[in-house]
Amino acid sequence: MSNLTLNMSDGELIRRFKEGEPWAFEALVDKYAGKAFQIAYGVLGNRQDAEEVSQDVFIRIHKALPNFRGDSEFSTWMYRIAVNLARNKYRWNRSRGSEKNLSMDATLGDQDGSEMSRILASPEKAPDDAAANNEFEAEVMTQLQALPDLYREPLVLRNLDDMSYDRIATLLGCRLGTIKSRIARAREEMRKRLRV
Amino acid sequence: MNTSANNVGGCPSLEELSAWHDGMGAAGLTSHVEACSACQQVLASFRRIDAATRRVAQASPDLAERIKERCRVLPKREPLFLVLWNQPLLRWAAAGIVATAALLLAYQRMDAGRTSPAVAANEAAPTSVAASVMVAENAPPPVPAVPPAQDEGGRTRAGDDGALVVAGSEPVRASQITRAAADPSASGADGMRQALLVPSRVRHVWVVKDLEAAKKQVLASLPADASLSVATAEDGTVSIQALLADRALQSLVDTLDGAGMSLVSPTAPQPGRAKDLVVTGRMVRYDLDLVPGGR
Repeated sequence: MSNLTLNMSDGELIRRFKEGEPWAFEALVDKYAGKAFQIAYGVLGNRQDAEEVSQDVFIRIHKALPNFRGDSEFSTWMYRIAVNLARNKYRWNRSRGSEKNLSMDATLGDQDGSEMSRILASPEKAPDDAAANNEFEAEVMTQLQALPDLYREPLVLRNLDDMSYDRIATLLGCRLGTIKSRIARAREEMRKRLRV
Repeated sequence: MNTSANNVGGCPSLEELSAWHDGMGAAGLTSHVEACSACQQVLASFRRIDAATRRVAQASPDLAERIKERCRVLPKREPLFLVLWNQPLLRWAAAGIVATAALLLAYQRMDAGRTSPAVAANEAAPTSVAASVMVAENAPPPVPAVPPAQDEGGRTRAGDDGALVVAGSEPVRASQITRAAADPSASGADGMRQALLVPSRVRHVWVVKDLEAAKKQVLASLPADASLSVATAEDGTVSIQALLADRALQSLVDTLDGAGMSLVSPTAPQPGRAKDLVVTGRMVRYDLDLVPGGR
C-alpha cells in the first residue's frame, strides 16, 4: 500500500472507488483482508474455509459498495458481512457433514501443512524457544478449533485489534454481559486444555 | 477466584479477572491483582493464550493479492440506463414520452404556420436576443430568421441595415454576438462561463530554472497536513505526489507561479484563475513534475 492510500480514510477511498478509481477498492482490500480472515477464522476455526470466506466478503463488498451510504462505518459493515458469510459457511459445512479441520497430522508437504509451518515459524527466536513456541501455538490452534463456537468466536474477535466488548456484542448479536462471560469461559477452557 | 482454588484469598471471579485483563474490570481490583501471585499466574496464562491466538489467526501474506485478483475479473456493473431499459414498464413509459414530445412538436409547427410572419417576428425578436445571451457558452450565434418588425412597446425594431435595436442601447448586429468561450476576456462572458470542479486527480508539469530550489519551494508551499511522496528520476526530473484539498491546490498553483515557476499543463487549476473554479474542500491528488528549463 502506498503512503498516499495509507493516509486516506475509508470514506475517502470509498468515494474514489465510486468515482471509478479501482485502486481505491484495492487499498480497502489491503487494509481489511487480514481482519476479514481473522473474523472468518474465529467463526469457522479453519484456515482454508476462512480464506474462501474472506474472498467472498470482498466480492460482496465490491458489488455493494457503489450503494454503500455510509450510515455505519465501513469496518463495522465489513465485519458484519464477514460474520454472516462465515456463519453461513459454517452451517453449510455442518449440513453436509463435512466439517473441515486443519489436521495437525498433515504432512508438511501439502498445502495446509506448509501454511501451518509458515505460520508457526518464528525466525526472531532462538531455535529451542522457537520450537517450544511452535509446539505451543500448534496446540493452541488445535484447541481453538476444538473450542465450542460460542466461546471461540468472541475470543478470536477480542484478539482482533483488541476489539471492544461492545463491538463484539453488536457483531455477534449478544448482550455485553454474555460476551464478557463467554470470553472468560473461553480463556478458562483454553487454560485447562493447554494446561497453562 | 470463584471457580478455582485461589478463591480462598478473596480473589476476583474468573470473569472479573478476564474483564480486568481486557481493561474492562473494576479499578479496585488492581491493587489485589498486583499483590496476588495466583491472579498473576492466571493473567500470565491469559496473555500467553491471547498472543498465540493472535498469531495463529493471522492471514497468509498473499491473501489480499488473491482477493484483488479475483475482484479484478468480476463483471463490470451494467450502466444505469441499461438496467432501467431492461424494465418493460419503463420502456413503454419512455416510448410514451417520446411520442408525446413528437406530437407536441408537430402541433407547435402547425400552430406557427397559421401565425403571420410579422406577428411571429414581433414575438420572437426579443426572445431570440435573450436566448442568444443565455446560451452563448454552448450555442452558435443565432441569426434572426425573420427581420424583427417594429415593436409597439418601442423595445425592439429592425434597423435599416437589419441590425437589432434595443431601446436605450446601441444597435446589436448578429455578427457581434459571439460565443462566450471564444473570447474569454470579454466582460459579458464572465457571468455565463461555466465554473469548473477541480478533477479528483490533477497532473501538472512545471518548468523551473533550479530543480532543487523548486523542489524546496513546492515542499514548503504544501499545506502541513498534506500527505506526499517525492521521487527523483535519473535525469533529475522531480515528481511529487500530494493529497490536498482542492482549495489548497489553487493556492499552491498561485504560489508556485508567483515564485517564478512556469506551468505548461493546461489542466485546471491555472494560476490566477481561482474565480473559474468551484472549490468544495474535497481531497485531490496532485501529481506534479518539475522539469529543468526556466522562463
